[in-house]
Amino acid sequence: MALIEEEILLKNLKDETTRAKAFEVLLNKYKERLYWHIRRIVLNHDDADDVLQNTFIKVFRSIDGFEGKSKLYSWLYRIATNEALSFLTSKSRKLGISDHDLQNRMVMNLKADSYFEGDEIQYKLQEAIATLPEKQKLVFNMKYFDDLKYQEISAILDTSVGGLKASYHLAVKKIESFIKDSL
Amino acid sequence: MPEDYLEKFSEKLLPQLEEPSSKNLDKTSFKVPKNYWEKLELEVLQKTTEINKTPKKSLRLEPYFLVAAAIALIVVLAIGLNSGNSTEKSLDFASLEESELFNYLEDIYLEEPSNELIEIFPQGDMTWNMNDVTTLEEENILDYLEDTIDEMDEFKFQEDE
Repeated sequence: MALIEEEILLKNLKDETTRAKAFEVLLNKYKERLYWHIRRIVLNHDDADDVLQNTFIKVFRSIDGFEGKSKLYSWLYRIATNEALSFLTSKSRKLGISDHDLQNRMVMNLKADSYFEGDEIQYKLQEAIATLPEKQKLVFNMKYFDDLKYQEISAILDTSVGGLKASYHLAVKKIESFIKDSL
Repeated sequence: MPEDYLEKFSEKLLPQLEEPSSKNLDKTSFKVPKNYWEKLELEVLQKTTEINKTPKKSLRLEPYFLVAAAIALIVVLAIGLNSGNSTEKSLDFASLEESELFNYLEDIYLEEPSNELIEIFPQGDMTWNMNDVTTLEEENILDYLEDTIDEMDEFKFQEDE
């Protein structure tokens, strides 16, 4: 979104008289990108739907507090990431299992998931991603699937570009190794 | 080329540039239910409309809460007042010992008379002269006795009881 366009949208979001309409524009603009980002973290569609709705409601409630120090999209992405990670933490606590076990269970459920159409290699890829530490997973998803630039990821995750490059490099190596070992 | 080709071309191209890339679907092989995006918009907008309609909670205290707070305050004050009084000696005369009472009374009578009393009763008048007694005559004594006889009768025992 162009900078001027974003400024206008933000101004309308902060104005009570134009907020509703502006929020509709925001929702329409970012719903898919945010959904896929969340979906790659939680894997399941219903969970992704819950987290996405919570994300937009949080955005709606917090818009007055957004100072515009970062880009609007970075802010949205950050909220979506936090909501997804909080969701997983809460789910693992409710089930009484570790985060690692939850990740394994989520991947195993993909086989029976009607909203997953991947072949064996796609499934292996998800299995490999599930073995990554949380930050590496996020960086890999954002770089590989979302095609975000390192600068954009840096603004979202508040990590240096150098650190992100290292994380991504390590993630790729681990995934390659996992898939090779499983073949 | 067709007449309106360029116009149609730009009309076709611009939306594709603005929409997010669909290659994510190929990479992850995830998909969404039919009409999900429309349904999502409706649900989110409905929820945000409800948030707008919900009045902001003001600091309005429920009546029962006020009653509970008042009771708690009374209890706290009562405890505070009682703890304050317990440090003082209770004014119970029964607990006073006789010696303490006598000591108190002596202190009062041994005190020097106030200046007011000295003015009303000059010291010179307060001296008692033994000679004054010897000047009393027998007649004066008899007069005194007559005056007090009626009073004396009161002290006779009634033999009928």
